[in-house]
This record gives sequence, C-alpha cells and structure tokens, in this order.
Amino acid sequence: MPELYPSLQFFTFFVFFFGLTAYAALDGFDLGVGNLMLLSKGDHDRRVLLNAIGPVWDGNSVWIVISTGVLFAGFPKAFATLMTAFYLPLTFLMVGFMLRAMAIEFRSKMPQTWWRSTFDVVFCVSSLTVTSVLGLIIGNLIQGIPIDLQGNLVGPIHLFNPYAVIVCVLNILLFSLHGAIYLSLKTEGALRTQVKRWVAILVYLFIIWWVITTLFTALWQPQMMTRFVEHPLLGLFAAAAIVGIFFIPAAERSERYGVAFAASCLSIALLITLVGIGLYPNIVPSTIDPEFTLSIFNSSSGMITLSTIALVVAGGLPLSVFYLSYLYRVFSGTVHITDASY
Amino acid sequence: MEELLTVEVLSRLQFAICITFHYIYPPLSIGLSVALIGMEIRYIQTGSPVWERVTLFWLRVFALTFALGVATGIPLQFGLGTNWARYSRFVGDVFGSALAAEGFFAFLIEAGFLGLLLFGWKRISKGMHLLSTICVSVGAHFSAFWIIAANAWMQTPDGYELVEAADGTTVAVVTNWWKMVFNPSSVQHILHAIWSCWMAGGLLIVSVSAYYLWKQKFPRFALASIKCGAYITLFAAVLHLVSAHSLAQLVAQYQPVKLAAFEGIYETVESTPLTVAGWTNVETRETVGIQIPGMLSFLVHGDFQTPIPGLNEFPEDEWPRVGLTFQLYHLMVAMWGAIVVAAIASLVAVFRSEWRRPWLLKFLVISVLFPQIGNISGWYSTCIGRQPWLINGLMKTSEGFSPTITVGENLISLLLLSFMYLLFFVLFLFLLDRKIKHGPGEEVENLPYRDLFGEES
Repeated sequence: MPELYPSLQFFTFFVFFFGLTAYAALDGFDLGVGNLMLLSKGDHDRRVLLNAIGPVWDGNSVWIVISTGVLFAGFPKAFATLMTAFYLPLTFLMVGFMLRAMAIEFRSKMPQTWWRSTFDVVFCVSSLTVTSVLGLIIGNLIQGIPIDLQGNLVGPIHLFNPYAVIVCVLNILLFSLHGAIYLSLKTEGALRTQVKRWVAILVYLFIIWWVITTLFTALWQPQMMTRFVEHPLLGLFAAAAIVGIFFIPAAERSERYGVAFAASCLSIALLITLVGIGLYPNIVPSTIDPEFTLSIFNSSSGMITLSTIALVVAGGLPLSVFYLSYLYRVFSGTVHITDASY
Repeated sequence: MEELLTVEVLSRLQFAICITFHYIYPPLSIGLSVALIGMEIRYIQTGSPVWERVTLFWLRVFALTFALGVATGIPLQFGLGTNWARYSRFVGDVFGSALAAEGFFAFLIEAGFLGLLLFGWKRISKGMHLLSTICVSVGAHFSAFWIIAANAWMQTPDGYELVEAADGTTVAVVTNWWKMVFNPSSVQHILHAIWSCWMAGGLLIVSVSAYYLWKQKFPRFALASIKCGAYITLFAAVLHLVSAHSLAQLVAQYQPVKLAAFEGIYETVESTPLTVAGWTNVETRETVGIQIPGMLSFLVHGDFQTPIPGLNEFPEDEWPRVGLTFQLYHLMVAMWGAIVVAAIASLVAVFRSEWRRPWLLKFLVISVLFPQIGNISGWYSTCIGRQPWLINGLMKTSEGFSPTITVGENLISLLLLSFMYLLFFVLFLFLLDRKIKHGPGEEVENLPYRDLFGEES
C-alpha cells in the first residue's frame, strides 16, 4: 500500500507534535511551578507547591521521551540533526532535567533550612533552564539552521539571537502562567490568593509578549505565515487560542479553576499547533539551501516502521489517556501535607 | 595523550559513564517491583501489620531507585542522537520503533501508575494498589524488554535490509518487524538481564535485612523481608544458568570472535578447554589458569571433541580487547557463584537461627554488591567483546559517532554529565543509608506474634 505512505508520514508528524503538546500542557505546568517556586515564602507554602506536582511530574516528563522517541523512530535524520546541532543546549537541558528530579526528590528529606533553600534554588534554576532551552531551540528551529545535504551542521548557530530570545521569553511566560493556574486549582486560603495574583499579572504579561512575538514572526519569519495566508481557515486555530487566553482571567475571578486550567491547556495546544502548521511539512529548515531542508517526506523511516508507530499509537494512546485521567482523578482536590509527601 | 582526546573516544567514554551509573537503578527497581508484588499479596492475604511495614518500607526504597532510574535514563536517549548521530541515522528506522513502543507502552504505564503506587496507599483500595504495583512492575519489565531487544539487534541484526538514501548515505530499513524485535539473541538477552535484575533487587533486600539482624533491630521485619529476597534471588539464579547457557551458544554461533575472547582461545584445538579463572596474554597468545579440558566444546556443541574456533582464525583488526573482555567475563561468572552462595546462606540464616552468626550476616550485608558487579562486568564484556563493531558486522564504532561536534563541546558535556551522575550516586547512597538507619519503624516489633501474622505459632 505505497499510496498510504504520505499519510503515514503526516500521521507520524502529527504524533510528534501531539507528544510535544502533551509535554507542554503537562510538564509545562510543573516546570512553571518550578519557575515560580522562589516567589512563595516559607517552608510550608513551598512544600505545598512541590506536592501539588508530586504525584504527576515524573509521568509528565515522560512525554518528552515519547516525542523524541517518535522523532527518532519516524524521522531519524531530523532527530540526529537536531540532537547534534543543538549539542550544548541539549547538554544543559539534560543537566536541567536531572537537577530538577534531584531537587524534587531530595528537598524535603532533611529538615535543615540551608538544605531546603538550596534545593529550592536548584529547583527554580533548573526549571528555568529547561524552559529556556526549549524556547531557544524552538526559536532557532523556526528560523532554520545551516545544514547540508547529509543534515550535518556546516555553520554556527547563534543560539541567543533576538528572535530566539523573544520566543524563549514567551515560553517562560507561558509555562509560568500555566503553572500558576494549576496552583490556583491545587491550593487554598492565603496561598491561593497569592497564586491568583500571579495569574492575574502573568496573563497580561503573556498577552503583551504574545502580540510582540507574533509581530516579529510576521516581520522576520514570514515563511511561518504563508500557510495561513494560503488557507485563511487555519486562522481559526489562532482565534481559538486568543479566546482561550482571554477566558482565563474571567474563569479565575469566578473561581472556576478547573475551567481556567482547561482553557490554559487548550491555548498551549493551539499555540503549538500554530507552530506545527507554520513549519509543516518541514521539521528542520536549512538556511543553506531549501533543498537541504529536512521535511517529513525526505527524512522519514520506511513503511513498516511508520505503520508500527501508527499501531503503537492507536493502541497506546487511548490506554494512556484512560489511566492518566484516573490518576488525575485520584489526586484531584487541593494539597494537604502528610507523611507520604515530598 | 593527544589521540585520546577525540570525539570518538570521548563519546564512548560519555556513553559508558552514563549507562554504568544509570544501570545501578533500573535493575534494583525491577527486582524490587517483583518482591513488592509478593509482599503486598502476603499483606492482603494475612492482613498482618508486619507485611504492611515490609511493603511500605520497600516501597520507599523502590521509589528512590525508580525516580533515579528515570532521571538518569533521559540523557541516554538524547545521547544516542547528540553523540552518535551517524549511528542514529543508520539505525533509526530499526531501533526507533522499539524505543517509541517503549515510550508509549512501558514508560507511560510505569510513570502513570507510579504516582498511585507511591501516594495512593491510603487513597485507593488494597486491590487497586496491588494492581498499580503489578502494572508498574510489568511496565518496568516491558521497558527492559524493548531496550534490550534493541541492544540484542546490535549483537545479532535481523529483519532489515540496507538501502541507499537520497542523500547518499546507507541506512538500515526494517523488512520484517517481528524478526527485528525477536532477532536470534533477543529473547535470551532479555531473560539473562531480567534474572540479573531480580537478583540485584533480591540481594538488596537480603543485605538490608541481614544488617538489621546483625544489629539486632527490627527482627520480625527483617526475617519476613530476607525470606522474600532470598527466594527471588535463588529462583532467578537457577533460571540464570539456563539463559546463560543458551546465550553462550548464540554467541558461539553469531559472534565467534567474542566467544574466543571471553575464553581466551587463540589456537583452534580439539577438546577446547573452559578456563575457570586465569590470565590471558595477547602478546604471546597464551591463556593460563585453571582449565577444564574439553568443557567449552561440550557446552557449545554437546560433545567434548568439536573444536571452538580461536582468535587466530579471524583478522586481528576484528578482535576486541581480549584481556579486558576475558577478565570481565570471568568476573561476571564468578559473581554468579557468589550470588548463589549468598542466596543459600540467607535461607540458612532464616531457618537455622543458630547459624545467624555475625560473620555470616556481614557476608550477606556485602552481598548486595555481587549482582551490581556482575551486571556491570556482564554488560561491559558483551559490549566490549562486540568491538570493533557497533552493530555486529554492519557498522564499526569508529563510523557511528557524530561528525560535527567538537572535542571542546564533547568535553564540556562529558564533564557536566559525569558530575551529575556522580552526584546522583552520592545522593542515592546518602538517602538509602538514611532510609535504612531510619528503618521500618518499631510499631510491629512489640506486638504479640499472633497479631502480626494472623496465625498461631
């Protein structure tokens, strides 16, 4: 069935972006909680913050393993190229992941103040590192990188170029906002009041920065816009994202935190969809020659592997959605510190 | 010195360090997860507070090993791309689907149910909790399955064809997915590794319990635990013998150079001997030590005469480092012997209290190291023995590393990651020590025996 091949390539690309979306919507909030950690004062409040993500952060981070796994399996050339092109940033991403896990696991194991404050700082800095590196990589990827026909890097990447930094800041604001909304769902009393204040500030900062990012994307990266010009209906995704974001302050005010969180998840999903639509069908654009660009059509695996991925996803996805929703139901409600807590 | 500072050497070193320090944790959590199922079933059967303590204590240790396993595992997946780009491009089609399946089925099951396992003791029913334990354990075994199947493919590749891609490079493409996953050596590799994991978990339980018995603390907890650990270890050690034998026969069939290096055989002679322990000299091409004549011929072919091809039959540039491979292999075998002794000794200590001597208990305390040393030396011998090949017969290690990264970048990444893995190891030891010192709690130790196990004695 060779005529199915392009559909399978598209489906694998979709799964990759679905994995990224799940990662951003799930690990995004626990990274955000990490970004905000140092804003809360006092051991009890910080423990509540930590335990709000306690039972779920480990499972959330698995989505980055899944999406890179799908990239490796579906588009090995794009995987290998991305991994070597962003060698040092990814090293820092790994160190960030490890430091975060360490901080969460070890923070509450000793009662001393110096021990706990050290790990609070580690938790915050590592969460910011992970968030920033992800933002910088996406920012650079949108612009394309200097790769040759074999996908080897032939020129330097200026990681901290202005556009990448703009995207990076957007990512930090997005995850922090998402984390704060999650916290408003999981906390109560004075802490909730404080958290709601963070949401109120972050949501406006985010909206402003989003407008700026969109302007600079249109100005500097017009190729991201061409597909929207060709198919104006795709603009509905952008419209829905705007509605979602503007819905958040109202939902928070009327104390419908679950709705606010859902709106935030939806907006994240839509934002990533916008990036996906903008890039499609490319995964790693080449700045040397458009011929060298790694797209879903010239970097994908063979028929058998792509069908295997499709089968795995068809079997695994409903299963994982089922037990993840069970998990979140068991741990729904606000956080109370007990013996079993972090 | 200068030629040591190449991306190839640094990438190999980085992968070796990451995998070595990673592989401390997953075997422990796989082994402990099996023990936990047994403990929890006993708890549900008896309703005894001792088994509740036993379950909760080992659950906490499991949580620690599991979290560290996940945290130290993520860099490995990225590492395949960052440092082994040519390998990733070549093998992505084959290897990637196994990794993706691992992600979807194994990691999600594990990570999803782990939250329930660790935080759900009082929130969900006993039956649901047991189900979570079973799911996490199945997930952990499943993830071992995929990753070891992928490694086995590198030893005995099958179910693929070589295709020239549009950019002029050659890549391996799957032609038969089942043949790829169940390549000739994958089942035996998987079983061999799984039994090792069970022994690692089992002897950790034995070691900590023996420590309590030696210090005369928490005796009821310790006696209940040590039995679990000893049974699992002994069971796995016996099955291990079967898988080791089958695996060695596969090595003889598919990787004769590796087998010759394992045993230090240079000349092809009839009645090839098995060296129990000894020294092999690559310069003079001699192996001395305690040898059983004809034994290797017998183990591989079932008769004492048929010769096993020696290293001299193969070009020298296809040899691994013979001396190192030989010693690592023999160290692994020796560790298996030590594990069996430890498992039997712990059962003796359980059932014959007059044998509960300090020297015996001290031996059991250090027995936790045997499976760890065995695991590391076993993996080293199988992967160093595969050299110079990265994928046996298809791609040399010197052809697989990333061409575009610089020595400087690689050094930074090597140093940072090594530091992180070392830090994790130190913190692991520190926290494990604290958990052991803190113990399972005194509550159950003073209750009358009948209340504890729900049975007269």
